[in-house]
Amino acid sequence: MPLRAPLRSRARGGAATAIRVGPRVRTLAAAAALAGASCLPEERPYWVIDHTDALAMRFEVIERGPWGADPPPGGGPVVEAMPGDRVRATPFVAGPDGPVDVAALQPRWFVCGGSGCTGPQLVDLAEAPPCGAVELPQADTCALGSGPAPTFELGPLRDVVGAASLGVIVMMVAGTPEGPSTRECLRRADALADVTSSLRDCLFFVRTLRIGPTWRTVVAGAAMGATSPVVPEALPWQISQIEPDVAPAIAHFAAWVPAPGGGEYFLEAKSGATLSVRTGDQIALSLIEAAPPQTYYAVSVDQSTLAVSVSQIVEVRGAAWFSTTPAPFELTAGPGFEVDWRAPEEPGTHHVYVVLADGRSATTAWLRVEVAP
Amino acid sequence: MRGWLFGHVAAAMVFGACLKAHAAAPSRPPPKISEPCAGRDDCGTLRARVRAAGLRTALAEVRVVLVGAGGWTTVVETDAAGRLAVDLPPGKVEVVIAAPGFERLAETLEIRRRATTERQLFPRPTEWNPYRTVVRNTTEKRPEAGARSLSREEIATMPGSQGDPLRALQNMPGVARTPGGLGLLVLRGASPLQSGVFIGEHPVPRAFHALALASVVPADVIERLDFVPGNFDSRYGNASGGMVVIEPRRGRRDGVHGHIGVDLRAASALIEGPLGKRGSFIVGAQRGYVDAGLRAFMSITDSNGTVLPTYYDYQAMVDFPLKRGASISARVLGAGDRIRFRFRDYEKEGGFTDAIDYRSSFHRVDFTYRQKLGAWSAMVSPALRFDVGRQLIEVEQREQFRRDYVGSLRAELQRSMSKRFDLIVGADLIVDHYRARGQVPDGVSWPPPEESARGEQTWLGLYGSGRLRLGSLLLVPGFRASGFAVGSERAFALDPRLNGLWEVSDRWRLRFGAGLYSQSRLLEWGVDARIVPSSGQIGTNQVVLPAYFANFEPAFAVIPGQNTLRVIRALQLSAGASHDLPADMTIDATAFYRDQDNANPPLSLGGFPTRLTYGRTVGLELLLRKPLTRRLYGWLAYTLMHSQLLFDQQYGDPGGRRPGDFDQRHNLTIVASIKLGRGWQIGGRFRLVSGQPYTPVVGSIEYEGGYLPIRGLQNSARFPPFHQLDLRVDRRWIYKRVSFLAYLDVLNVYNHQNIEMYVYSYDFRDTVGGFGLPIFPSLGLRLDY
Repeated sequence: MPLRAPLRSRARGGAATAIRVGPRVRTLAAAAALAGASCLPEERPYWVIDHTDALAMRFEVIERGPWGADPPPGGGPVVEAMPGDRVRATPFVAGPDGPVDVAALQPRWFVCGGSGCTGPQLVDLAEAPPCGAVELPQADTCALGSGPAPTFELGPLRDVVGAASLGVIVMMVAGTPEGPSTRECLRRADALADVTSSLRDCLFFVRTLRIGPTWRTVVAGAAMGATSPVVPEALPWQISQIEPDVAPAIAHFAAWVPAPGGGEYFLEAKSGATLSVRTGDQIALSLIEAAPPQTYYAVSVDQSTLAVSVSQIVEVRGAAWFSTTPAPFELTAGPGFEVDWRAPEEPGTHHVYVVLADGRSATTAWLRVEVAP
Repeated sequence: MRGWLFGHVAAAMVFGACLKAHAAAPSRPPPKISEPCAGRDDCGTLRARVRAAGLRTALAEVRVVLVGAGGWTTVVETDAAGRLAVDLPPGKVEVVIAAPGFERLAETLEIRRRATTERQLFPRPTEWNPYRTVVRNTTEKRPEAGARSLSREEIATMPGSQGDPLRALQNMPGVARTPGGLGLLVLRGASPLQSGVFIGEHPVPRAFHALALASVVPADVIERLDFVPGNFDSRYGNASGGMVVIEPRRGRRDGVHGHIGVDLRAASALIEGPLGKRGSFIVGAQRGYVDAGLRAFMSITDSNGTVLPTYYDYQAMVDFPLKRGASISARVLGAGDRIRFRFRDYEKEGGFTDAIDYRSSFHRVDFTYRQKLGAWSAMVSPALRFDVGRQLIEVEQREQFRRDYVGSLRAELQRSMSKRFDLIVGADLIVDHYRARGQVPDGVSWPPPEESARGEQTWLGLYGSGRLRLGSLLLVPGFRASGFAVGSERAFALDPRLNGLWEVSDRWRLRFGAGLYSQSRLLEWGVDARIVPSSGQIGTNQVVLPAYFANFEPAFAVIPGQNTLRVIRALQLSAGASHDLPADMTIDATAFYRDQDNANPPLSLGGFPTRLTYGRTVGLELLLRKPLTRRLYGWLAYTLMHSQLLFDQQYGDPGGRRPGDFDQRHNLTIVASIKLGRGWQIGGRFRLVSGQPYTPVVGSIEYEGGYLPIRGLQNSARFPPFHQLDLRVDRRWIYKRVSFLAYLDVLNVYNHQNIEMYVYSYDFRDTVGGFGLPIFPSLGLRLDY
């Protein structure tokens, strides 16, 4: 019974890594063959941003509650929250023409209870009651309202293991400039109970706010009378070393760009900067982090003996790159920190996006690329 | 396994040859004295045996004209064994045979003085028809509306059936096209598990080998295939859909015969002949080897993975008439499948990994004893069957296993009570002792990852039916009382049934049927039963399988829990008319209706048992048929069907009425075959079928970097209409003692990609492809002796 949900595999987190054939792939390919597959269809490049798409959501504790922790010295915003904390969620939405103004999309926000937002049918969002303080864990889906970056307060802690495992599941529903409006997306989603209608170009974007650090959760749970298999006294001493997770940070981009007269030149660029290249240029892009990976402890409780065990984990960060052109990113070093990318053969303005994630939180940066003949 | 199989086949063949040695040879007839020999003492004797070329079948009562060089002519007739013996004047004699159905044979012989000349004469048949048993067109006699029988010749030569009996069924009205090449038998919209398949007096667990490459019994061992898509009579139970009954045939007694066949899919062999003074035997086997070709293809190409299907089946049958109207038959039959999905694995020695290894087999032995006791006819048939299934998905550490020992018994009494009324009463009992085990990795499935169970399931049926003839009206009332037991749970059902046939005139016949049909089912709380998951990824593409895939191999699922026994009750109604048209054509029209409670497909998407309140199917079947004639046969089959399920509200599903998984609104099949002469035959099958219902993905939720599909209403969309043309060309060469057949069977001649499944992009935003069977040619050779 892990107190902390395991790192989830991220399709986009691994975007810069080579595709490996896994068990699930094999099983489904067998199914395809059962249906008479003679050859497999082409895969659509997942790094291509050819439509409006949400890439990341950033959580920040904007008001500490009584159980909240200070960020470690030199750390960035805390993204791991405790009961009583007030949290803000900020999405990053990318489009073919650059980052999209989320406010213009008028997204609606929900906290998902159970599997309400992710079950086989997407229903009852219209009937979701307004969220008060979000219970930990939240039993029923509730509405956070609308806006580009909602804020919400974490409420009472009911179940330590449930809260630590599930966290707070936040979903953004948004229309897109090329598709239906947010209101229409929600209307179609609600109508799925009676009629099948397309939700293409509707964004249903879910990220989980983590509850922690674990030892604080156990202590808070004991104080609040929450269900918990572990009492504070049973916690090993290492547990108190755990500090809240802080968001990864991107300092800037570094790039080697072919020079007009031959050779290459080096430059550094902040997120949002414009990079001028020529058609077909091979560019080496690097991501410079602003904060080192954190070390933390994972706590497990044996279901039969309730014995507590602690294991030390160093955060593994990975970068996923996206662009508005189909040219692939070729990994050259690190878990996606350095890539080669070829500018398209046609002049124009393009965009490169990167998501830096550590399994608990993520941050984004982007470049505008002017491609000249 | 391969060595075991072929070793047993070889042993069976040797056994068959030994049996033949015990067959008594017919006595030689004394020579007749022909007119030209009257008063002469220098005549020689001609002893000849006349048999059909290629078949070696004795031709009885055939007139043989003998023309001497001196101008005399005499005619003799063969006896029952095709023999003739006649004294003839010495010198050259021309033997002429002109029998109906055979080419004229003329052969010159030399008759020596006071000596015996022996010859074998082989007239060549104008048409190849080794199936000498009388084919009953039971549409004429059966009271069930829509019921039909297929002859072996129709099965063997029907385009698109590849000579396979149950595949031939798929050309019949009321039979759904099975999507994806799956071996499913779907009658009038019912789930495959709701229809029964009997071989002889007992059921078998599956009709087809797993990928529908072949039926579990080949056409060569079949006497007759009765197909009743609904309103079957009281003899059969524990099925709420339709029924297929395969009647095995007896071996020939006119010598040892057989065949050896080979094509791109399988090799087969069969031997049959007399056994003792009255008996006969058949021993046959076939073995599929599509996997061998695919393995070779994989090794010489860069293919990353392929499915390797293998199958086998075998049959050994002995029929022995006893004294006083008694007879006994013994049959041993079985079939097995193995499907592996093999991937290239560069990290492994040998370079390949079997991601899935699926095996399923059954083996059955049964005896049937028939005895006439005065006005009564009695039949007793016990059988023992052993089923085993195993599925191993090594890379997912998933294993499922089930083993069944199934004992069954059928006993029946018949009596003609009067000229107008026949009575049949009987009982059948099936006891299934099972053991099941499942193991899945933690977190993949619910309930807990390891579970095993053993127990017993019992089905008992008591039935009675009568055949009452009132002039041109035939009524077949019947009832069936069924008892079902699983562990300590019990359920009972009483099913009255009535079928009728009214022969209005020589050309018009009306049929009708009404009845209740009960079938047990279990709520299954076993591990995930599907050999393929309902959704997943290929590369970054997403695949969502249509619901009918859940029928692929449902047997693994059955690890019953407590209070799980339910009885499906179906009301079936049907009415039809048949009319004889000129040129031997017939047209049949049948309307049908089936309404059942507790309808339940074996599994549903998402791994949850789906609760259905009822299933309802209504439709119309049309069959325009040109029976086998000298040159042309064919039919046009059309089914209009509306199959609907009512889902309960659960698991976020709002419930409601939806199309059934096999709701094929329109199903048109045109089959035609023509004999061109000189051994050539060409046939074709064209099918045009409504697209299969499926549950579309209308959007997705991006959840922590992965994508979860948002589905529309279940079965609320359809694939594009299916159409396909299959052609088959046969050429047969007939020699004296053997015949040789070469054929080319091409499925999907114009290579139309019929979509059976969609592949979505990684985020379910677009469909990036679809799957369907491509063109599939099969070249085959067969030697009959």
